[in-house]
Amino acid sequence: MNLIFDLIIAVCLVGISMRIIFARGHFQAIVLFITYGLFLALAWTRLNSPDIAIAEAAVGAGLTGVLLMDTLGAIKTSEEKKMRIKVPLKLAVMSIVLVIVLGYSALQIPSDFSGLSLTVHNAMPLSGLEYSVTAVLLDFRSYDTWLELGVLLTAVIGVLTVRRRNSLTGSALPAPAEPVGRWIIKILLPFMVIIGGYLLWLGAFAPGGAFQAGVVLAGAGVMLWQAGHPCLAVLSNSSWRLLLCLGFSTFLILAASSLYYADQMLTHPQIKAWILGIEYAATISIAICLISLIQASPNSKLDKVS
Amino acid sequence: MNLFEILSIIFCLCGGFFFLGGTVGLIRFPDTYSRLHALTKADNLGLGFIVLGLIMVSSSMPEIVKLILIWLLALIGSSSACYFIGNHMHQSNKPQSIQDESDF
Repeated sequence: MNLIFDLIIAVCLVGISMRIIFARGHFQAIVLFITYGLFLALAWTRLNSPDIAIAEAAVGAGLTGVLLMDTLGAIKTSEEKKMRIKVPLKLAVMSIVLVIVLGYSALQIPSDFSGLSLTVHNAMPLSGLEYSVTAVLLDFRSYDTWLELGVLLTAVIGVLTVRRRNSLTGSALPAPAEPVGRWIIKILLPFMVIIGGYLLWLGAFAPGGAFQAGVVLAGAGVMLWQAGHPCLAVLSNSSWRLLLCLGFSTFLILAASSLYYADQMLTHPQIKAWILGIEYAATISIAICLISLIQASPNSKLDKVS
Repeated sequence: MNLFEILSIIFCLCGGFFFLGGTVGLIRFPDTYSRLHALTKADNLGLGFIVLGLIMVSSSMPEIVKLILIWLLALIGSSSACYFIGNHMHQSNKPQSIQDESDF
């Protein structure tokens, strides 16, 4: 029964990606891409990776969808091209070769291979955390997480540069007279903040953590921005910038300060507060970065007005 | 198989039926308004039945509360989204919608 379910997911994933390639309009392609993200989240759930599933559903299906829709609104031309898209032959051949190589190497993995999970399990006492995924992200491989925060920060700086803006505040309009919009914000916002905090707290011992919590909080921010709620503009420009680089700079301070008492970067004293500090800073930074990316998107309401 | 499991299966099948109906409506109905009707009404009922079915077999109280919360949030979300899409349609092509109304 489970095998049938897995096969259906696999077939749907391949089918949807084919349809994305051959989609006639941009809008159709975006909707299919969001669907693809949801199916991918389902696949990760079936692979016992709830962490990636939450991140995929929130980022791949949610926030990327908003970004793509915004971009579509900005580049929309009066007539949609009806022509069939041809897939370049070189690209198709290369993809097929890649699939064969990946498939072959996946078949070469012995069935009782447990990867690095045993190593991680043995090293768990060193981290002072209870959940292995969080321990890997924030302790064993914190270098990767640090650079990921750097990537997000660079993306925001890049978007601001391209859009020739130096300020992210003030891009929200005052709340429009939309009773349903105000009502849904009033109901959903507390829930989103609670769920964000819950995911962050959950990260210490169960699937969840900084990234998922940050994305949920960013979702709340995007909702406020889309509704033109003025509360995001309360943050001054300097505090907005401070929050943008909070996560990255916390890691930087940790990396630099650890050189004083250890001969390796990014080692930390066995205090849970240290890890929690990083996690909270990363969550806030991720949320603010993602909101900034969407606020500075081409179809921003400010551009329409001016 | 006890009573709760049988009830759970029945409720989940009911939910699946409503999802199927909603999808058929979404594909077959002629205009945006009736499609919205099919989508939101059927999906709310479908999700409601599936949540009811899962509550029958869930083991702990927090799980039940979370399931009900998911349903309530989906209700709020889908009805509001329905309003937004419908309102946008109404604002963007008013002459068209008046034409539609006079057809009834």
